[in-house]
Amino acid sequence: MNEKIRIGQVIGASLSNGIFVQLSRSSFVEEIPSNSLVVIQGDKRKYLGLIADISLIKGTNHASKLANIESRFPSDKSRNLTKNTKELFSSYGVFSSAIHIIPLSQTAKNSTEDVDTIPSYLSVVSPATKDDVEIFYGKVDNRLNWGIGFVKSSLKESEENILIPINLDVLVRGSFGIFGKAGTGKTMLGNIIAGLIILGNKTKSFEKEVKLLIFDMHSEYGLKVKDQHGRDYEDGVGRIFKNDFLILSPDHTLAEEYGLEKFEIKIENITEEYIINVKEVFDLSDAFINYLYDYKAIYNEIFEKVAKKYGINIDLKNPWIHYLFDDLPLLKDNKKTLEEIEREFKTAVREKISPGAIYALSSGKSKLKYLSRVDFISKNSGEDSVKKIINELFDGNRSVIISMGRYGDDLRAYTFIANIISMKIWNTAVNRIMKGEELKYKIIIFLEEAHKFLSPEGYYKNPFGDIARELRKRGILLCIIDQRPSQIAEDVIAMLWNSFVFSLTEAKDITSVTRNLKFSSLFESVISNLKRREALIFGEMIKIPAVVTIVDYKEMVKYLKRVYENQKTLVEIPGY
Amino acid sequence: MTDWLSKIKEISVEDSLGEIVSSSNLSFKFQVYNLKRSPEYSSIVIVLAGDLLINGVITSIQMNPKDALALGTPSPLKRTREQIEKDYADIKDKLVMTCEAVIIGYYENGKFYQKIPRQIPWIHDLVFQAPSQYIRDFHIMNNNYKLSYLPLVYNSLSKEEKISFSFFMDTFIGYISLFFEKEEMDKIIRSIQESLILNGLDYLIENLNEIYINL
Repeated sequence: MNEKIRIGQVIGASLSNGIFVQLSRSSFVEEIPSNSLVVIQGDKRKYLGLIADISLIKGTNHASKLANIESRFPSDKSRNLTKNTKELFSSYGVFSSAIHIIPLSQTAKNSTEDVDTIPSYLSVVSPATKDDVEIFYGKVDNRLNWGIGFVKSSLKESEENILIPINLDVLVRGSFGIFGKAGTGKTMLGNIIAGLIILGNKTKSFEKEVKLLIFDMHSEYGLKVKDQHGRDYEDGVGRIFKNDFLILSPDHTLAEEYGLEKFEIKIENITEEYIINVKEVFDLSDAFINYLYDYKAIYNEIFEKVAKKYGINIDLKNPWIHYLFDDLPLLKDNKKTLEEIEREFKTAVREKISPGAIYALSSGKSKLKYLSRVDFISKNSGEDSVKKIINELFDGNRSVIISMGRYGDDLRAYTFIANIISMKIWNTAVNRIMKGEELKYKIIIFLEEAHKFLSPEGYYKNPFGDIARELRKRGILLCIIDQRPSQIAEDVIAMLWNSFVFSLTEAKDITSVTRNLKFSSLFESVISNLKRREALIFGEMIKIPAVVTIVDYKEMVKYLKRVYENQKTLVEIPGY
Repeated sequence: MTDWLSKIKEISVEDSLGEIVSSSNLSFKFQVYNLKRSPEYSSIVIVLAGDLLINGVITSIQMNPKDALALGTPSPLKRTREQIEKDYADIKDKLVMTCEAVIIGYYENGKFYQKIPRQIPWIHDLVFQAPSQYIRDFHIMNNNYKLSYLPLVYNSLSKEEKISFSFFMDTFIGYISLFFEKEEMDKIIRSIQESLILNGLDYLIENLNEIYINL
């Protein structure tokens, strides 16, 4: 066991700068990884710490001279002498190495608490054992406390796998974030969390059932999670819990191929608000947006007048939106009527608004033309997916995944769809709340590329921003998934109750996610040193921040499937 | 183990190197009896100090006219040593060689110690060349090879002498290696390194290594 391994002793510490520990053996620098957990046995209490940095602190000058001698006199004698001298220097502290530890927690009588003291000189530092982890983090019980990651052992050769639990019930009480560079494991973790929440529903772990709405950019929730090479790796949460998800795709080819439901928005349900919300991504001019309601009023008035004049009876709620998307099929055979409407419309715009408004209209219309070509804008009558999604989330039995398919990298499609649904959620929730109704379920919206919706400039006028600000208490929450957290409004980051942070390299991104942490500057190196699948997790769901290696996805899927299929009893498997 | 006190006492006065002319607890000076048997720089000598054998390593050797005031500065003779010996048979009586040694340990009650003795050498105590086995025994204690006195030597030197300490080490390591096999020397070197580290002189270790590699 690791219990008796003595890594080193405290040689300096301060509450603001952390704890400095001289390693017992210089060679420990090759054995002790950064971001691993250690325990410091002080005179009066125990401390839990995270290794933030490792360094060779003394002996550079000697090392340089020895290297010089060895290169000038290359011989066995020289090499052996250098090797022996290195050992001697290490054992006598001429070569000295140290670790920098972030104090995370301290024992207090029979419990633990935030650190407000520091360990005394020469306190002994050892790797954290399973018992230590349980003292500070609690135990995995697979009811409320689920193990989603293993502690990184502070000795490389150690094979001890110690799970750190997160409280799932606490996690779903507030919005949370999953951040990290591409390929670090965000999607796998997202799937794991989604899977655990579905299981949590089954095991009645939450005060209120939780519905998920997952905007699945790369179809890894609804279909297959991919490995780092882009190959299919394992089922996404939608496939694991087939009966618990309504999976739709705006990519109708994909929908047909995989038997998903086709996502469709009826043109007549598109409102001006939807268009305003995609202003940036469609690069629509301020003038076009400013005149949008004027265009609508003028067009609809002229349309009605001309239709009446020719006795054409077309039942359109908002002819203007059909005009904008070139969808006036019933008038296609009547070119003259269409031309007359258009002529009169433009004249009226010129007179009532300004001549410039005509150019703004023509530019805006051509930029929106893209939407008239996509699969998911339906010109036919039929069921509107948005309505179905809202029904499912608020009153139905299933969670919802929108797998974007070939539109996954198409920001225009993604933001358009996400904005429309979020507005509908907002409107539905507000209407019900105003009527004094309590929402039946909690809803967590998994939002990838969240900065596209929650930027400092745009979040206050975006429906996702409204949801984040106003609906938490009503149980509508966000799971923000992003690789550039610095591009998300500070206010939104501050609203997150919990965070899962994978490796980030941009200083601004690191600063933005660590802002709410005690010793935030010390955590910066922790985040930049994270490997793939390793995450810094902190927030209300876990007592103390921790760096964990997220559980193997395939293993987790096996486990989730097994528990799901046998809901009555939770099966214990190694590590869980 | 050899009773070195008896052994040294058995050596004839005629075979001694010289006698003490001044001493302290750190070092001593002795005058050499016979120029032809003068000790070498960095070699180890023994002072017979009553029932104590005090060991020193020679850090300085000087030769001067016996009475500098009376004889003044020696005049050039333009001869080789052999010619001078032949032409001026009494010249050796007019020259004096003085050696300075730093105390590096002692032998007492059948045991060697690499530390400063409680007593100092007295003026007129005899000084002997250390025999090979004596040197080996002095450096092998309880079957461990030990040479921990170089810091003593270094710290007793003047500032100027310290600057050239690596030259002393070079000669000294060469001298010591005459008494030990290679594997033994590796252990001796490690012991020197340890003593340098413990005395804060680790900056001399790379010099030592280079000297040893090039031995």
